[in-house]
Parts: sequence; C-alpha cells; structure tokens
Amino acid sequence: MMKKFLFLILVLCAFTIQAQQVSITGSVNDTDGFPLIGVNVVVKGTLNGTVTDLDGRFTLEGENGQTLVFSYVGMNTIERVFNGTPLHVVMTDDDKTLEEVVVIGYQTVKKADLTGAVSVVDANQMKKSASSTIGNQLQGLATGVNVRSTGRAGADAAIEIRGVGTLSDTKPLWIVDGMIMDPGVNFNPADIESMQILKDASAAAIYGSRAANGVIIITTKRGKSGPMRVSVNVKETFEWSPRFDLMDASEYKYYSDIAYKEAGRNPLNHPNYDTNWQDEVLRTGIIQDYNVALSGGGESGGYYVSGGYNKNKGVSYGNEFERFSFRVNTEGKRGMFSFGENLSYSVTNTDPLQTNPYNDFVRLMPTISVYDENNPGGYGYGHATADTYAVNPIARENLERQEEKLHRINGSVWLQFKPLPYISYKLNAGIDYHFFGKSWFRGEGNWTQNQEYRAPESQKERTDSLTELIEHTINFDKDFGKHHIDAVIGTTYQHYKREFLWASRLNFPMFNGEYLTVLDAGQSNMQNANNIQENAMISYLGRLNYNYDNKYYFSATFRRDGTSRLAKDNRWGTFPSFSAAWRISQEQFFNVEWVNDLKLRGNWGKLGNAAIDSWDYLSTVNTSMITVIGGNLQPASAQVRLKNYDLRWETKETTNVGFDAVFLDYRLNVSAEYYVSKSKDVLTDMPIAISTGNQEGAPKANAASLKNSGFEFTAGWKDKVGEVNYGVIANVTTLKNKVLDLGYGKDVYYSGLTKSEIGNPLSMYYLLKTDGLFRTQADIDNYVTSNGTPILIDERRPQLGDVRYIDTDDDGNITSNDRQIVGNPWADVQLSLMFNAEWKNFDFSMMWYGQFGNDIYNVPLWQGRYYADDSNYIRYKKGEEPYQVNPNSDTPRIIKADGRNAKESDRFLENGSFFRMKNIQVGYNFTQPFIRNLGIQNLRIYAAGNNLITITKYRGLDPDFVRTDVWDRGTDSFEFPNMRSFMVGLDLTF
Amino acid sequence: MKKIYLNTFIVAAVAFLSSCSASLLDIENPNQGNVDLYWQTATDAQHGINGCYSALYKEGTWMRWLSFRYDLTSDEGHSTSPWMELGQWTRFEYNNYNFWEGNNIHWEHFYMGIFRCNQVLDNVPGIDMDEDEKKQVLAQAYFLRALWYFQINLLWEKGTLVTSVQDTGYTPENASEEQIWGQIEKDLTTAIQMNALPDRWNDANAGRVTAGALHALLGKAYMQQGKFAEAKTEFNYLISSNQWDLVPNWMDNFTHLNENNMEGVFEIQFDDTNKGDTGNELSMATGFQRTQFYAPAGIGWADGKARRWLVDEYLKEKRADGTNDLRLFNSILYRGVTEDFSDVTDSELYYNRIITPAGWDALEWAAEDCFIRKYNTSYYRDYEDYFAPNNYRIIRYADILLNQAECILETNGDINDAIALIDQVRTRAGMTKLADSNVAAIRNSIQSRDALLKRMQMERTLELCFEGWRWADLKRWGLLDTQDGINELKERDPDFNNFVLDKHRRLPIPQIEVDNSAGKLTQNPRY
Repeated sequence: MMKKFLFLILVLCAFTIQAQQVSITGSVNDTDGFPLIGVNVVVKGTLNGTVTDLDGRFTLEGENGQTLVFSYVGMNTIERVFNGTPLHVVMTDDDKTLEEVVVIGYQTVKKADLTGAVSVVDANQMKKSASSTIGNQLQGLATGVNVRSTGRAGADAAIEIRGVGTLSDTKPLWIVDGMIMDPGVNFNPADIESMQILKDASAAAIYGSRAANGVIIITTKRGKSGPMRVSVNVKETFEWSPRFDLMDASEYKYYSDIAYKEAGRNPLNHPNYDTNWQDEVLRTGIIQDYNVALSGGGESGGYYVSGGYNKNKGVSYGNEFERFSFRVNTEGKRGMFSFGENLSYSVTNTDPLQTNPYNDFVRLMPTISVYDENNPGGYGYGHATADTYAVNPIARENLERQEEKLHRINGSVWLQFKPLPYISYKLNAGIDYHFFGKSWFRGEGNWTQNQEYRAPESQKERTDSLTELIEHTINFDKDFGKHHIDAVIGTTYQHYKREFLWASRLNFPMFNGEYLTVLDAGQSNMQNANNIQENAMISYLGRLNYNYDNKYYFSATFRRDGTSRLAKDNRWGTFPSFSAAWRISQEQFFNVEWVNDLKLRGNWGKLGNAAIDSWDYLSTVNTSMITVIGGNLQPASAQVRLKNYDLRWETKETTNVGFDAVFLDYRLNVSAEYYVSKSKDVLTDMPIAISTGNQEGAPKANAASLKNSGFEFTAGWKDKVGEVNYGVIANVTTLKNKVLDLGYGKDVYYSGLTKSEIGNPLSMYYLLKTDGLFRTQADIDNYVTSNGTPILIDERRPQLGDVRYIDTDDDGNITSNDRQIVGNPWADVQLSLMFNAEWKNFDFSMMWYGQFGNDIYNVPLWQGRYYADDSNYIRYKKGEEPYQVNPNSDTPRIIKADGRNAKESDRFLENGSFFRMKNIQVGYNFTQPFIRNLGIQNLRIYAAGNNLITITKYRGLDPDFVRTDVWDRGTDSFEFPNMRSFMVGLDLTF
Repeated sequence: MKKIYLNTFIVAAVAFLSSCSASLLDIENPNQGNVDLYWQTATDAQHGINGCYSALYKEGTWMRWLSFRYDLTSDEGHSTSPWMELGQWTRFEYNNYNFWEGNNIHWEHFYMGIFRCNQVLDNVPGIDMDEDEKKQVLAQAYFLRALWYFQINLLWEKGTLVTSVQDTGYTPENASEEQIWGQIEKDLTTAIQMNALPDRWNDANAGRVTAGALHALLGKAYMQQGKFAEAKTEFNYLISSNQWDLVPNWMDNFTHLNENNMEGVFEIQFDDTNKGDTGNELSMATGFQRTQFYAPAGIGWADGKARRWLVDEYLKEKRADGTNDLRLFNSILYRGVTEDFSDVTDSELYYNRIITPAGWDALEWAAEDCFIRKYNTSYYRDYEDYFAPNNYRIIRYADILLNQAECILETNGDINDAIALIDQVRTRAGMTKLADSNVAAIRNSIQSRDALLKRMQMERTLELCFEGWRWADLKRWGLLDTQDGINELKERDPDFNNFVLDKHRRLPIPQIEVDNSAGKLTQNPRY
C-alpha cells in the first residue's frame, strides 16, 4: 500500500519537474539479476526523481557528477555518482529491516513484533555448507541450536535446541509448509525459502506437545510474480576422513613384543605383512549435487518446480547414498478464495556401512593382510598370531550386501477463504508417505576370526508409513485505532500408521558363480515378521496477539493435546503460554540517536512431549514364542516386557527474559536473553532392576526432571570500509543443567560410566580417579591406606610404571566403591562466529563454531593403548612412550593379558572443548556484459572448505560427534567424525 | 449482508473445530494382546508354562555361557580366549563387575526365568480349569523357579528374592544364601506335595519336569547345604523306583540320537529347526551353542579347554578289557588321543579332519592343548554352529547315583552301599569294580570312608566332567574354603593362583544392580 502510494507521488513528481539537462539512464536489478520495478531514483538533494519501469530501466534529467539515490522498500538504499555512462545498479535485500516477516505457526508476524525467542536462519548461509541435508547445513547458523554430524553418507545430523529438553527424543519438531514431518535426508535443502526456529515456550506453544525440543519451520520456495526464472545449482564436494595415527608393522611388533615379555610370555610370531587399514578402507568421498528450479507466476497464481540429484560416495568403502528429488509448489487465487499445494517426491538409495570401520582401524593389526585365500571367502582377519576379533571392513562390505530404497511422497493442499479483509479460514490437509525397502544378503565367507558357520542368507524388509494431518484454522487480524489485534484458533488431527514386513530364508544356491538372492530361491528356514505402529493426536489451539501503537505487546497461546500414546486418564495435556514486550524505542521519551530500535521482552510457557511408541503404556503378553517339548516346537507365552501404565505427559516450563536492540544507524544489532526451563517427568527409557526379569529394553518412564538454564547472546555488526562491505555475527549460548528428580523416586541413578544425582548435572562421569604412575619404590611403599594397610589393585601390589588409582573408600582394595565424579559431559558454552565480506564482485565468508567445558571419554585411546588384548596401537608421540621405553612418560607399563593399567578411569577422560572453522568460502559474481548477452541473469561461482581447521586438546578423531544416549552423552565410542571437505559450486539463473 | 456472512462463517467454523471425536484416540494394539486379558483358559496356562521352559534358550543359561562359569572356572577347564575379559572371568580376574557375558547375562536370564515362573504361579491358580492339570502346571513352574534360584546361589551365594511378578519400580534387596535355599526347598516341597507330576511323561510331553526331577533337585539343594540325610531320602525316590537306569551306551547321554532316555532326569530340549537368534519369537533359536565355543580352532572358537590332569587321570586306569577309558576319548581331545585309542574305529577322524599327531600339528593346534569333546556334534557332522540339536542333560541318573554314594558316606551309612553305587557307574563305562581296579590306590580306596569319599570325588569328574556340576562339587567338598583346598586345585589348574579365599568362591553381584538398589542390595564381600 505504502509502496504504491510512494510510487504515485514519485510518478507525479517526475512529471512536474522540468527537464533541462543531460539524460541519465540506467537499470536496477536485484541480486538474482531480475529487474526491479518501481524503484525510486532521486537526484540527491533535489526533488528530481523517477521510478524504474517494468524492465527496471529509468531515465531522468540531471548533470554529470550528480549523485543518484536508489531506494526501495525492503532493500538497502544505494547512492551512485553519474559520470556520463549508463548506471547498472544491483540492489540488495535490506537485512536490517524490521519489517521481515516471521512464520510462527499458523500465523506470520513481523520480526519486530516478536515476543518469543525465534531464530531466522539465513538460507543463503546454509547453501554454503558442503553437506546435502538440512540438518548438517544448519550448524552454527542460529543461537542455541547445536547440530552434530554423523559423518556417514545417507545419515542425517542430530539437532538439539537449547540443550537437552526431553530425554526421550531430542529431535525438534519440524514443520514443512504446515505439515508436521521430519524432512530427514530425503529433503532437498535447495528448495528452502525460509527457515525459522522457535526456541522458547511462548514461541513454540502453539505446537503444544512435541514442541518441547523446539520447532523448526520450513517454508519452501514458491513462484514469484514475473517471467519464468530458471535457476541451476551445481556443487561438487570432495571429502576426507580424519585418521588415527596408528603404528605401522614394525612399531606394532616392537610394542607388542614388549607387552608380551612384560607378562612373561613369548612374543608372537608375527606374520610378515604391513597393511595400512585406513589406506585400504578410506577414500576421497565425492558428493555431487545438482538442482534445477523453474519458478514464476502472475496475478492469480505462482508456481515453483524443482528437481534435484545428489550422489554421495562416502569416504569409507561400501557406503553410498543417492537422492532424486522433485517438487511442485503452486498457488492460486480467485476472489475470496485462494489455494495452494506443496508436493514433493523423493527416492533415496543407500548402501549403508555394515561395520564401524573406525573401530576396526584401531583393532586390526598391520600384520593382517586384506586378502587371504586360505580363509573362507578369501579375506584376511585375525588368527592365532594376530589375535583380534576386529572385522575386516573390506570383507564385510563385500560379503554382506545391503541396499535400502526409500520412496517418499509428502505434501499438503490448502484452501483459504477470506470473506472479510480481517478474517480468514484455512483448511490444510497433508500427507507424508514413506515406502521403505531393504534387501540384505550374505553369502558364504568370513570377515572376522572365529565366525560360526552360517548358510547363505537373504532378508527383505518392506515398511510403509503414512502420516495424515487435517487442520482447520481461523485467522483474525485488525487494527482498531492504535490497537492491533490478531488471533488464530484452530483444531488439528494427526494420524500415523506404520507397518513393517520382513522375511528371510537360508541356503541360497549358486548358479554360474553367482548366488540367487531372491527369497524364492532360498531352500530352508522361512522366517517372517510383521508389526504395526499406529497413533493419533487431536489438538485444539488458539493464540491472541495484541499490541498498542507498536509499543506494548501482549500475546497468549493455548493448546490442548490428546494423544493415543498415553492411557485414557493421562491422555490430555494443556499447554498455555504468555508473553509481553515493550518496544521502548517507540516511546516519545526515548530519544537516543544511536539506538534505532530497542525492545524488551519476557515470556513464560509450558510445552509437552509424548514422543514415545504407540503402546508404551500397555503391558502385553507375547503369545508367539516357542519351546521344545516332545521333540517338537510348541507354542509358548509370557509377558516379556514390563511397562509403566501410568505414563504421563512430559512437560517443559520455560521462562525467558531478553532484549533486541539495533544501534548505530542499523549497523549493530544485539539480542540477549536469559532462559530457565524446567523439564518435568521427562519421558525416556530408564533401565530398571534386572531382577524384575524384564527383557527387550527398558520401559519408558517419567524418568527425571531437569532444569536447563543459560544465556543466549547474538551480536551482529555490519559496515563498509572503502569498497568492502563486511559483517560479523557472533552467537554465544551458555547452558547448565541440573537434575531435579529421578524416576521411580530415586535420588541417584547409575548407568554405565555415569552417575545422575539430584542437584547435579545429568550423567556425570563416575570413574576411578588416578594420580599418575608409580615411579619409585617409595611411591609404591607409600601406597597405603590411612591406617597403613598396603593397597591392592586386582589383589596385587603395584609395580613400577603402574597406574596409581585412588583408594577413595580407604579399604585397601581398588574396587567399584572407589569411583568418584570425575567429569562432566555437558558443554558450558557454545560459540559461533560468522564473518562475511564483499568487494566488487567477490564475496567471502567464514564460520567458526566451538563448544567449551565438556569432557569426553576417549574409548579409541583406551583401545589403542590397551595392551591387555591384541589390537593395533595408537602411535606414541615423542615423550609418550610406555614406561618400559621411557620411564619419564605418563604412559604406564604395558602388559599383555593384564587390565590393571587400563581400568575405566579418568585417564581416558579428556577435555572436549574445541573451536573449529566449519566453513570458509570465496565466491565470484559475474556481472560483465557478456553474461547478459548470453541471456544469463546471474552467475556465481564459488569454492568452499569445511572443517579445515580445528583447535582442540582432544586426542580422538573429532570432539564434535553425535551420541544420543542421554545417560552416556560424552563417550566417544568410535563415533563417526566430521569430514574435511572442499567444494566448488556454481549458481546460475536465467 | 456482511453480518450474515460473518455469522454463517462463525457457525461453520465452530462446527469444523469441534468435529474431532476423542474416540479417535482409542487405538488398540494389534501386535500383542493385553496382559490383563490373558490367563483365562487352560491353554493359556499350558502356553504359560511352556514360556517358562522357553527361558532355557538364552545365552546366560547352559545354552552358552553358564558352562564357562561351572566348567571353565573350576579345575576341569580353562580359557585361552583371545577375548581377554572372557578368559579373565574363568580365572578369578573379575575387573568389570558388569561384564555382560561373564556376569550380568546370568543374572538377567535367571531372573527372566523366575519372572516367567512367577507369572504362572501368580495367575494360573485363578484360572478355571481341570485341577489336576492346574497342579501339573504349577508344579513345573515351582521346579523351574527353584532351578534358577539354585544357580543364583551357586554363582553369587546371595541374590534378591522375587517370588511374585514385580512392577517396574522394584528395588532388589539382600536375600542370603540361606533364605534362597529356604525358598528352593519350599518350592520343591510344595511341588512334590501336589503329587501331580508323573515319573515319565508320554512322548508328546517328553522333556517336562517329572516327579523324579523334583526329588533330584531337592536332594541336590539339601546336599549343597550339607543336609545329607534329607538329600538321601530324595535321591532314594529315584533309586528305589524302576523308572531310571543307566543307558548301556554311555554316549547316549550326549547326542541327539537317544534323548529323554532312562538316564535323563532333566534335560534342556535342544533342537536345530530354527536358525534365528535367541529372541522371543516364533523363529527363536533353540539350539545348543556351547559346542561352537568349545570346538578346536578352525571348527569352533576354542574358548574353553580341558585341563591336562584330567587326561592323565583317565589314563591311569584301564578298562576291564585292558583298554583305555572310552570316557576320555569322548570327553577330551588331546594330542596323542589317536594312539591311546587306536582300537576305536575312525579314531583319527574328527569333524572329518585328521587328528593323528601329524594331523594335529598340521591343523596348527598347540601340542599342549586339550579340547573339550563332550557334547560336540562331530558324531554326525563336520562343523559346529549355534544350533546343535543334542539335549543338555542338566541332571542324569549317573550323577544321582554318585550323589547318593556321597550322602551315604557323609551320613556314615553302609560303605558297601556307596561302593555299589559307584561301581554301577564305573561298570557301565566298561571299568572294573573299584575292588578290581588295576590301580592299587583305587582298589584300596574302598578300605576307608575318607579314602572312598576322595575316590568318589575323582569318579564324579571322570564321569561328569564338563556337565556343569564341578563348581557345585568343589564348593560342597569345602575345597574353596581353605588354603589347603586351593593348593590342591592349583596343582591341577594354575588359575587358582589368582584365587582369594572368601572372595572368589562367589561372583561379584552385577554392579549396576547394586548401584541402583539404594543400598538395599549390597556387593559381595571384598568386591
């Protein structure tokens, strides 16, 4: 409206001013190379001006040397000096604008009007990542969002918003074009138009349950009014895995012999090979990513059609991923009705890894050969003189063939009816259908020492799942003088059903040297399995936003959810939230010139979670077991699993206080907030007493109540020095968690390496504490209890070079009673820094991400220094050699078949802090006339590197790994590292 | 006009918004039936008791790992497994008290078995069904529950006593060895008093608990506590009946060719039909897995081996016909076996491999290695896998005869009665009577009660080695109680050099169970 008005004024102006000088001509484009229509062009300091025409061209009278000012709503104002040649101006989007619209669930609001914590992710930043899934691309782009890559081709990243909110499922809720669904690896990130992350309760409350982990809202691209645009993106990425620094054959033999001699054994008669397993298995990964999109539209509608292809040859032998994706988004309008649809179809083919090669690298000796014709199948593996059970990854990937294919169709249609300008009704119906197929075959042949005989086996799986969603919403939006009210009410119904079918047989014949692998060819042991998951949810929702004069804001949200996954009495949960904000900068009295905008906000809200399996509350009896009686298989029944019938909603109450401010002529913007959230009755697996006899997994329980609190701070600075435009953005998040309650009324709960206790952070490392080595006889003699009793380690007195464990309970024996809290798996601070700059046609950007203050239990190091069994060893740095070689080092005596110096202790607990350059990128935009002559609107080429620099003290492969077990968060148990990569790409629009 | 519009709109909207019915949330579980609706019929009871037997097909039982505890930890066997922790747990090096394959798996599977028995014992009494059939079901459940608690006492000498189905919040608490023996006696006595189980089932039910099994297990429970007089009465039930006898062919105790025979008192019914894993489903595996773990390198994993002293002990005495004891040939594989048993047909073939000393060396087996042959399936195939079909005889009549001999001697009964029982076992194996042995020391052992007791101990291991009773025997004979006893064992098995008195006679309780018991279940002494 405003724009049209200005346009009119300026048109009038243009006509009224007398032309008397030279003709200044030129054109104005947006960054995609499209002409901008209606841009105001004014000679600075005068009323002389015009607007651009349909081709973005303008003509006005003026003099050489005059400065022209180009302005357009939502874009940065540009000044250019006219020196006789036509001006070609490219206008860029105005990031500082507060008019930006944010999708907050069933409604959109101006960013300036936000009262909750919402991050808007820059889709352009995401494009810079080498990875091809949304999750992976998201890292470091928003505060409070932690993304950890799994490093495998075809596996998605893990995302956590503001620390662990719920323990059962730390995944946020994804909403794609109004449809609740996990976009996963099938989704083509190139289709994303915008992405918002609702982090706090008030922002997410409209999604009620399932929103406890935050909500990520994705809007896919749609056609814009204008001629058809064709955009083509091509990316090629090369990836390399980090590697362990392992011993070669001669070093391995040297240390192995020392360990054997120490134990009084004869050294092994080592085979004469020198295999570098990492060289054999790891390779340069290649990711190819191609996207083509067509979009356009007119007055009554728009379209966006895209197709993408992504192929990822993983860095590890036997791991490949391929995705074909296709999308059509259209929308149309007639009178009071408008409608639209979003539909996407994708196919992914995955050849997943059958083994964790990182584990095998450490455990496979260099003295084992890759191939050995004496073994069944022809591959080398452990044997009497290289005694390991490690898997030969080449053998296993070749012998075990697995192919996974997933077809996925999802999308929604919506119809909107708007009888009055301020009220509308919307019907939204969506589906998300998965059809998954898996084939697995294993022929004869072995990949590890001592494999039992197994006849050739084939397995097939077919799983289909369908989610259906129907939503009715009514929106209201009206100003009453200085009062603004908008509101939404609605109801939704969601239904999910998944059916799993599986079958297998044994004994597949070979014809002409090839196995028949189709099930029909199997000759014995038909097996099958089939099960169904089904659940539904009904919700009622409403939200009211009120503001007075754009100064005082108030918002209330309400949602009531009913889930089929809880028992009838506990089924319904109510999740309200309230928020308020005061935009001080709008006040008359507020007159600080260097502050452009200042808003204080605070909110409280309650969310829910019941993301458990469909019938986790129901105890059932398994009536399809067997036993052998009278020489025959007979039917048998029993309750196998115990369940908690009284499971109830997990809730999360969050309080947020913060401010958003813009300073110094929109150059600096700062947001800061403090949050406290209490997760009550967290729903997760909580192992129960083994002596209950429960099997097949721990029952779900309302296992704990936790408090998370912290600060989030974002600052962005943007300026220009000479011809260089640059910007810096820093995000800092601190987090702290504390256990308030534990399931089954426990005060303390132990799990593996950790202990959780009320009042402390969850899952603290609880291990033996060590105090260096015994270096002198006096050290050993002084190793006594307070009353002088000699302390025994595994019933023996230590020797020189052994590890000194602390006898915490002072009983003279090192036992499990001597464990102490020795480490914390949770980071205190997460930090990301982004820097970008533009100079002429070049652009440059860099993103760093780090987390600080957490401990990691380094299992690869334990294994790689565990001489008690036979494996390869992690190479010693100078000064690190074991006691027998270097009595001054911190590495204990190495002994075969003796675990005394390798007990689970703080020796393997390391500082997990790191700071890493996640991404660096240089691009070049072609604006030369020859490009235009080729009909190209925009051409950009770029090169980028990922994970090239990491600063850390952690000695494992990568301190930034994914582990979702909340009871054991920080343990690097051969987790997959992030890859280093180099990428080149091209964006083309015509 | 506008107003009508708006009103219609609001009415339509309200209708839409309230259109969802809460009944859409009532979704039945189509996969498995609700436990509240089970236990209604006799069939439910029968399938329920079958579920109790089904608990035997788990790795923590004799199917796989329990033999490591009883055979390999004792002086009969040892482990040279390259899986270091697996080996350590057979030689008193218990570092990680949560070691799954050595400790927690037993605890889990025993208590899972108890859970299933408790389901039957809690629910079957309320079922409207034939009373005799009901008693049969209950008596079987009592036996199986007692069997599991028996193992708990043998391994840990304490536990937590669960005698009814518990809910998820259950916290384990100390139950002493005595309390557990008390429960075992009570369960077995109750089952015996029901007088419901036959001495022999028909073929279709072969493998179910018999009256004899109840008495045998109760006798063994009494014996372990030193109540030899009570034990004698129970064993007498079997011996005085004509339902049990020794099978003429000793090997019939270890193959799938003559199962549930006269000698079998209680057997795990193994079967090789299913080749899946050991989950709880229709395709669950019900085969014997230990054979894979004991077989020599190249065939199996050689994780468990015999101690050499056993070979020497067998070779000391000749059979009545002057040849070597065939029980050695069928129990232990050692370098030179083909020479000691050259009279046995095809003695040089084992899993179709030549095991003459030259063949032995060609197979790259260490000269000093003694592999466990008992229960392996080389008698009908040339490989091992996880699905051996031969029943594992937990209790067989020969064991009961020797137990009874011990009870007679311990209660100062008639030594000749004891000799007769021992001779019955010896002569079936082709050995002479004790009095006629070619070895003077054996001949002389019948001269005194103490000497005979000592000889009986040796007779037990020669007859029953690698059948899971040695650990219980060592405990009962007090060999684990004194340094003298340990010294005797050390000579046969150097693993006992690691043995610490009053510590290693029992395993540590799984640490995770102790940790999460709020102090109610305490760790065993010295751990």
